[in-house]
Amino acid sequence: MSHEPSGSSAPQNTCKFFLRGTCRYGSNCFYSHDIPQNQEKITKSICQYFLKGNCLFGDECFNLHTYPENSETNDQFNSNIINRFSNLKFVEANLTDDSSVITAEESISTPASYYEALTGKKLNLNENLNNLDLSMFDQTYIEYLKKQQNSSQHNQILLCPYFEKQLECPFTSCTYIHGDLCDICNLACLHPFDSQQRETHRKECLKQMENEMEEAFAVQRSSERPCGICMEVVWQKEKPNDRRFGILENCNHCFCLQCIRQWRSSKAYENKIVKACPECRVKSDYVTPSKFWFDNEDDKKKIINEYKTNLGKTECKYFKRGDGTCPFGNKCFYLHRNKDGSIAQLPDPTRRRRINRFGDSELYSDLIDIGFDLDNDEDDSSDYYDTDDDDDFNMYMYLRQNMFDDLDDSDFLEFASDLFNLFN
Amino acid sequence: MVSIATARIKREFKEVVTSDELTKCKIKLELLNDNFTELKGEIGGPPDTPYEGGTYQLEIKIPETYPFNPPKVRFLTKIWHPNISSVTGAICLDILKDQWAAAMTLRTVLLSLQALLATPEPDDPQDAVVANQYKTNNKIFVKTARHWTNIYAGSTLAAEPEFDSKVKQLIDMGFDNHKSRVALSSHLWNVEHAIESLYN
Repeated sequence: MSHEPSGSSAPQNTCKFFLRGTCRYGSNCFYSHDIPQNQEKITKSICQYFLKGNCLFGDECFNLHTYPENSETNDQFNSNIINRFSNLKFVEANLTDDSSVITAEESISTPASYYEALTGKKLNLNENLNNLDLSMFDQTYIEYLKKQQNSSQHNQILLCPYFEKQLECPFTSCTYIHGDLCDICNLACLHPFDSQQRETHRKECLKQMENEMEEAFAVQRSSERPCGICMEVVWQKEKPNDRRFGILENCNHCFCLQCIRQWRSSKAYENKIVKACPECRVKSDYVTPSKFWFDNEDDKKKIINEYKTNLGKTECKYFKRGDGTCPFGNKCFYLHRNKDGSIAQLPDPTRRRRINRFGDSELYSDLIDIGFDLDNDEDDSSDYYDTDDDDDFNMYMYLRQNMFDDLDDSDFLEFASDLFNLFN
Repeated sequence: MVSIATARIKREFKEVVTSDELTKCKIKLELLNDNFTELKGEIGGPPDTPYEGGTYQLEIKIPETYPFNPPKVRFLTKIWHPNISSVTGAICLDILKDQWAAAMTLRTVLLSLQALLATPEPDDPQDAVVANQYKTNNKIFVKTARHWTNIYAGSTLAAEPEFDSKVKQLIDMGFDNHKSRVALSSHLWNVEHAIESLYN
């Protein structure tokens, strides 16, 4: 904006900066520093904060520190009041005070009744507002807040947000309550009078502190753990996505997710070798991915169950809402939901025998429990859980690789036709 | 990018070299090339066995798929043991075959081999002749094993002068040193049978 001072040309329009009280050029200003009579009403409005009694600028305030006089501004003020009060939702507030005239709950749900509650007079919105006793307004409002002290519903809203966070409030006569300092979170968020709020906050604060401590411990537990297979510290692996543990259900040996999955899908050994822990050879049916390592048996069970629950929300790719057949039956971790939304009750997994390459009879279900590891793909972003992408072809290929590579030709033909039925 | 096999061997190598426990067990490891695929191992014969005092050299080859597949290990030093071929040095040990587990290391492999020397498994033999001798004529087996330790593994303990003279007898007849010893060992140190087998 061109706002160059120039002595030659006569001042024309009123300086906008002057009207805001911020013109840097003073008498040298190119624009007029005279306040036109008619402009005052347009540019200046009544200070909202003055009406509340807490204007920070005092006499310096650019807005008017007067009560409305003519009917035009009265209307404006009138609607302001209405808007302001309707924003304060005191619907459930209780006035139990002796000096209050009105005690019924719904009675102060409107600005008019609020005014009544304060002054004991009927508020007529058509009436000239000059007749209203506004001087007591600010004072009574504070008192009203104090009277609210034991009706806890809105106390939390009424804590001064500035004071709560910064321990200082820019307003000299702030109408909100300045809370007490909570020594756990270091915020002034304890309501001075509301014991219930104090207790709730303390509980929440303690819980949050516990959670933070728990996480700190989890980090301490996990950050130095090496994988028993690649021997690298899991959290220091090159790719961030590899920095996860694969938790085995039945033993406490520590592996990174990638390694334990690769071991479990190894085709060079018998199923009972690769499905067992590489350290202690205790068999586990599935691997639970986790960002953290758990020493505690209960925590471990919790994370495993959370993982299972999480899988249970994902539609089973075999069942396909009733269009397919899930070979895992009721042992499947995934969700079996029919098209109508009902949960399908499936029978036990199909147990079929086949001859493995060592010439031994082996249960089909032993063979396919590899499927529990199917929740394995690289492009997941979740920290705790794997979410698999919906790619049946990948599933087919994976299954084919893992289930059928160690079958001989005749077996494969038999399975291939089953598979064809399964996926078509 | 460094392969998982290389990265792991590097770590294991450090561990084996610095471990006091392993020097006590007379286990050593040495690199043969820069890309950590070939190593030379060394184990001492365990005490109270015919292999006591001997030092056995091992050839270790690391497959690309290590540690998901076992390293290929073979004895370079000749040894008389039911589970180790007296000809090729091939080892019959379950963990080096179908019982491998990804968490096993070169350290556990070498310790297992040392344990194998102490407790042979004649029912799951690599060398049928040795295994048979172990089962039917254990006294001669122990002597033979000790003799081999003495000759090939550099043991300075209790030599078998009787065996030495028999071998010398065959060498004097123009037979190869090692072949003579194998023939004699396989035929319970019966000189006539050994000569017969050598002529065949």
